[in-house]
Amino acid sequence: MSWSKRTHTTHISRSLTLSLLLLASYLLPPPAHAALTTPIASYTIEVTLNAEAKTLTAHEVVTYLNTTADPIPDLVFHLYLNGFRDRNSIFLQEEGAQLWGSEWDPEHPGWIQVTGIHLADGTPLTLEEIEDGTLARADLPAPIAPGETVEVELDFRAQLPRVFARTGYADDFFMVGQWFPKLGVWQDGGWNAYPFHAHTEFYADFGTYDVTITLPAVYVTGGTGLPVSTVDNGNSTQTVYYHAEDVIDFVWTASPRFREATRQVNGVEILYLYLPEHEWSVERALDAAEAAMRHYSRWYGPYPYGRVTVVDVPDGARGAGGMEYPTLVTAGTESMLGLGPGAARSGIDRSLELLIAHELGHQWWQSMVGFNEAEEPWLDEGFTDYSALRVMETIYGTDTCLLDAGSLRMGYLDGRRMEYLFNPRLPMYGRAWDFGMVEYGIAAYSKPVVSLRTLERVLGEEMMLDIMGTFFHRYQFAHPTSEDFRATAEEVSDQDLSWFFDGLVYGDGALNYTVTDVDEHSVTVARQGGPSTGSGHSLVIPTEVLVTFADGSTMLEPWDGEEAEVIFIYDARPPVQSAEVDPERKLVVDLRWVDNGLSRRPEVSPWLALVTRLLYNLQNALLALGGL
Amino acid sequence: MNSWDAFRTGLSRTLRYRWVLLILFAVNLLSALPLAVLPALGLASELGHRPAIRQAADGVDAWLVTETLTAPLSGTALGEGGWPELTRRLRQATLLGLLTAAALPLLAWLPATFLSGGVLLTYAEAVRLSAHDEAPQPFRWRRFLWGCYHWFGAFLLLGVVQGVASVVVLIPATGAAVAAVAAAGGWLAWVVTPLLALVVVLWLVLFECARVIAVVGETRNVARAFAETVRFVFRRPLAVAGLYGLALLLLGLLHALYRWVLMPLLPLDWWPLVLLVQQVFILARLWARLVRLAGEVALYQKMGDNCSASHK
Repeated sequence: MSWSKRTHTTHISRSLTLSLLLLASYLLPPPAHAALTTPIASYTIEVTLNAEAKTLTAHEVVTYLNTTADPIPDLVFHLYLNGFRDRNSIFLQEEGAQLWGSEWDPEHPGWIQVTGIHLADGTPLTLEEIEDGTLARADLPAPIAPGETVEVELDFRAQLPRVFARTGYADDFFMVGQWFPKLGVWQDGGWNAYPFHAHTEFYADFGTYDVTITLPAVYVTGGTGLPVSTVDNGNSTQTVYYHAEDVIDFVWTASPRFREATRQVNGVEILYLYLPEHEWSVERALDAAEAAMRHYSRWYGPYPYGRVTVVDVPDGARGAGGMEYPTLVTAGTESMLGLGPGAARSGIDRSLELLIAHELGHQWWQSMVGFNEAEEPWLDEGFTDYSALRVMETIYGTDTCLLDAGSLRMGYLDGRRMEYLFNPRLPMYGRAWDFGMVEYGIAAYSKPVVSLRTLERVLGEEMMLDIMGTFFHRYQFAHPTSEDFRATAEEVSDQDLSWFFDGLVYGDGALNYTVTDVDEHSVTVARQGGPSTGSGHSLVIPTEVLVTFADGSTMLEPWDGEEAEVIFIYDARPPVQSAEVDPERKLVVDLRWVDNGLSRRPEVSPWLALVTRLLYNLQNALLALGGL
Repeated sequence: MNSWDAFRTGLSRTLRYRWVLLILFAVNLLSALPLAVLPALGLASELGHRPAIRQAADGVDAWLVTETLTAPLSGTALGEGGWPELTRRLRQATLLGLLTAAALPLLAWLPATFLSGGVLLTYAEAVRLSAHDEAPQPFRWRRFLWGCYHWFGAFLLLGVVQGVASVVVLIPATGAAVAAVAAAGGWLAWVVTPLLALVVVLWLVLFECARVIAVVGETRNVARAFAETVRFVFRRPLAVAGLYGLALLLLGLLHALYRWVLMPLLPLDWWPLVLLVQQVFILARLWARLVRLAGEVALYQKMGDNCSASHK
């Protein structure tokens, strides 16, 4: 039995419709950019949506180029939708059939079934499900040699679940993600493809996607890449053709109720697909998207695609919101702070803006720099959330960018630091399924944000952006790891950053700097936290000590933090009034800023100011409860 | 007499009997001071020498709240005692919280209940009625204290009845209303919420007026006073509602002045000035409350007789 080996061949579909659409694409203006990287895993898919039954029927052609040095004997596909097939899936076992508050509906499960698979020359293959059915392997008649291409055709059917864990339907709204048989990534002599875990996101090679979607004519669609053409089939259906290059995934959405709002930024079109009941969100969403795209392009590198789509999700379909895909992200209008629709709508709660800024950050840190989200989730979520923090603070203010309700205010860093303080010793590095839900949030989001902000403040903002920009350009359209980031950061900064990587990324280091004693002519500072479990090294970050003397003069002492306790002596100076470690609060990872300073004399006036307010509040409480 | 006249009478009587206002203010302050001692000492021992307290004095920053909330966890991360220390601290904090929660209502309710009789009696006997004139009466300490003592038991009983009835009737009714709204959807909230608010307000008004009517009617029979109150409030609803509206307006104006005019101008770390302004505001709040009570006394003195007469 033989099978075809081809190198960079152009596939001509058997489908007349697709052929016509492809022909039309040659007559239309070319895509916004030429291919920027060699496509490794490319897909041509013709899919039909049955909007009533919520099912998909599709034909898929996968073209895989072996860019490795290994001969590859088989193909391993992800069948993600089978994670929602029944309660026996790893996904549903791990988190009890829920994810981030969104519940799996056993009455409306999701699944995918491959009904046929063969090579392009017709040689049949056998697809065998692995583990819980979210992976499947097909042995090849002969290995794919390095530099060669294989083309495989699959037919499949899929049932979309009621919206759960990023994908599915809610009435006439469809968010179609993780929907097609998708190859893993061949690296280090094997397929890097894990079963679908509850906290695992995705990992794939870059490639070109040509997808035609046939669905009812009344539906408005959005998808990865750019729409090339729309054909009215004359039977109340339409076929929409999307083309995308240099991307790692393809997602699409459809609803007859979608409305469109657009804005241009740096030659890129921002398309906001929103639902009529959320019309109030249009300007805010576009403002946030514009700010995010503008800043990320400036900080890291230009966005090379012609369009980015932001999708609004219906109330009650929160499981579809807040997700990133190449050139398309989903948002949502619900309050993430749990303050209700009034707060979200009024703008005092900036959940909408934050979600958009975060998901668009993934365009750089996942869609273009293709991290392995399963093995090192801290990289893509951490880099993205740190980027979102920077945008939110720049646009909405440091202290008010999360919540701005008069005297009740909260910055995003405050929120993330609070979560970090719940478990500061948790290492950031780890596979997604090594963490419970709360731990995952801390390890992948909160701790990376406070750690990267600490790194930024220690190295300086300019140096930090230099590191991030260099890293982006070096690994755009590649799959870097934590070690690649370490090498880049240490090279660009020309510093040993062990404290960051060994202490915070891989280690369980915890740190508290404090002033323990202030005498007339001496200051004692201490580093608390103890050694890390793994390395045995303590988390040590160089810092400064600001000493203020009785005559008002000050002295800024550098302190490398190496010794657990240091005494600074000032015999020839006026008496010491106070001392403060890290006076600018650069070290966000410090567990207690409150004990960073110490005064020789009591702080009577501020204490009285606080007691005064306490007394007043108690008097008011007594008045309210007394009823006289 | 209409609401406005009652309100004006309330204003003049509260201004005439400044001692009443000062007594209530002193009791309020003296009740709050012991409650403030423990937290103040804790603040001094934890933050007394820490410059971070300056930021707290300027207005509490989010990071300070965050660190306070997570202090036991970060202490555990730093190896300070681990879980036994954490649970010990949690036990202490819970105990302190429970004690404060128990002490606060008692400290608020008992003195107020005791003083009510004297306050209302002073306002009720503000004028000596004669055939020719209404001669103003001076403040009489002995009479004030007698009023406090005389109605203390009756008002304690009324307070207990109010508390028990609230638990038995009002709280379940509120719970049922919330459940109905949750089951039926948001539209029902537009009907239920105003209705519920009306019932709660009426509930509070009835119990407050019962004390007024007991003193003016010179009775310690709380059942009779309550029955008379129901009769009075339902026969003169506009007058009562008008008086409460005016009193509420006065309170609202005072709050607006304090919240939006005075406080934004005050740097929080100028504590003597802040203390002065806040104490003056507490005094003003008390005064607004006394205006309402004195107004109710005047209203019932003028209209209650007619009400009772017509009833007879």
